[in-house]
Amino acid sequence: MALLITVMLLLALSSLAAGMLWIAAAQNAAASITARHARFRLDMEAAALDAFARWQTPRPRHPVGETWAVDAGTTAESATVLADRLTPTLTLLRVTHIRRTPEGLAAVMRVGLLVRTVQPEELLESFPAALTAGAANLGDGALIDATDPALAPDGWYTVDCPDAGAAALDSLYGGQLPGAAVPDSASVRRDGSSRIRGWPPVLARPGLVPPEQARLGPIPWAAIPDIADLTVRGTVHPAAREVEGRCAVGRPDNWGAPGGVGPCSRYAPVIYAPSGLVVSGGAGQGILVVRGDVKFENGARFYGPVFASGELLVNDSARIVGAARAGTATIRNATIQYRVCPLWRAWSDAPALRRAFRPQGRWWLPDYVRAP
Amino acid sequence: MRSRPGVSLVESLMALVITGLLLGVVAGTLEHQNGLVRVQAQRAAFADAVRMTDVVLQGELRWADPAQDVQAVEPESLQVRAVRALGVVCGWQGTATLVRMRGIRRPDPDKDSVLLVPGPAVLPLRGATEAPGACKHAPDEAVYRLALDEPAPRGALLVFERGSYHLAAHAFRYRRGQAGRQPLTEEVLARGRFTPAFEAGAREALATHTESRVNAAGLPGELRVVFANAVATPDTAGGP
Repeated sequence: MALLITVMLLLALSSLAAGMLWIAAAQNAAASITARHARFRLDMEAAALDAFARWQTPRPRHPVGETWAVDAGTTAESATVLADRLTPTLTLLRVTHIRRTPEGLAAVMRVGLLVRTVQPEELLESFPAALTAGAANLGDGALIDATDPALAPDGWYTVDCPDAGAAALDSLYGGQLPGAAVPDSASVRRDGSSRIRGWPPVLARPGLVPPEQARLGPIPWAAIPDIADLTVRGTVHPAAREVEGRCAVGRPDNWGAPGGVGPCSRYAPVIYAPSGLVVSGGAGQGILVVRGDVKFENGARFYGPVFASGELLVNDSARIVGAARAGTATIRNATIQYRVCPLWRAWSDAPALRRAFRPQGRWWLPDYVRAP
Repeated sequence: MRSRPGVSLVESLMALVITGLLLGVVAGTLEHQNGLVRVQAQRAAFADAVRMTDVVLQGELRWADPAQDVQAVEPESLQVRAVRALGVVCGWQGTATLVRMRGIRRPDPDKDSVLLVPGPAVLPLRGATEAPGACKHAPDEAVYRLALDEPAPRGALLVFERGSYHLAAHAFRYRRGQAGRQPLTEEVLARGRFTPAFEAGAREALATHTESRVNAAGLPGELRVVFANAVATPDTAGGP
């Protein structure tokens, strides 16, 4: 009898223990699946961000509505990324992540990431004249010239100037620009032999905001230090620098070879000076952004847009070919000439602007694995 | 006189007492073990409910825009735009918009609205019919002709329904529009609570963190769901 009871007891206890073991095993499996699912999703998001970070095309060659494959990087080897160009400035990256188990099963997950690209057309609006400033002081020999803005700069090959630049200029400004844009006509002081050419020579724009409140196209002033290709301080004598036949990208004094044919001819960096700058001769191209005052002297030449929060001083036969915007400007025996070609080239070629940006608002979009 | 074999009354009583004690111990042990299994099963059901809540909300909110898609958060309810399909505008036919689409169900004018991306325009969905071949599309996409109040411009769109999640009546529940609250888990929650901890203007993915607490008796207790911005993605601040 006792033996029977003992056996029954052991059987009952064993069944209960087996039940608890089964529950624990099931819970363990469920927790493991949940963890793998979370990891799977994070891997996919990392692949999307990888594709975003690797973006290096300022103007996708693909027309709006087209889909193409994008480099997914190495973060997730089983991820594929397709890009859908939605609008001229918005592209949807669609990531498909597949994970296969040793048992031969496969799980698929998708997500979308909206990215914003910068188009040169957008940047053109930030420079509505050869010189845009809160006040301008033009001394002897100063020339502000916005006539024939679509012509190639002196010494540049016409083939290096894309028709798209002239077309955008025509579309935005009707092909004619003022020499100087200032808050009111009295803000321009002219001495001696200074000249202003353009249509009109001086345009009063009462609503003109200071450079620090303006944007470089869609990019706010405050964001420029983060995206700049070069940060420079003090005095710089820029020139094209090559190392073993290659353009020495990243050197603070290498500002490309304007109008040249060498390896630096298409290098047009975004250059940021956080505390004023003196350009003591030499030549360069790109997008120059200066917090504080900037001074060009000793025949310095710069091709592209110049954006300064303080005073722009251009002296001693120095020359800006492109456009300039500053808090105030003092020009003596020097030239600022509007030319759309170096502006367009700088905006198209600047490495900092070839990347993709986050759009305003929503940028993650849920995506699905099949047709509804 | 030889004594006959057998047991005395005392011996019988002793045997009965011992057997009774033994049965009592056995019954007690079984009862205790049974209680343990019951608690274990309740805890497992609670853990399943926690996981289900987490998975559903992660799926629904992970890539939501908190400022637009999380419309109201109360301690026991959460109103959201529940996205059901993603489409890309691929053309127009008259005033109708052609969209190539992937999703978890067909767009339904009785339930759905459309959010244009880039937004933030929201349009009611007036009609949706399949239009195979009207646009070039991938094999895992379907083309739909959507009737909206105005043709959608180039871009993407999200088809969504308005719904609310509830931690009420001992379960995690979903309610679409004015319909009843359907339980998505077993009724094992003592109580639940939604707590928003995200920055509405931030654009990081949303992380939902589900905390569970058992009561003093070790039985399922409170479920607390906290929404927060996920870990910051690589710095691209200040973009356009």
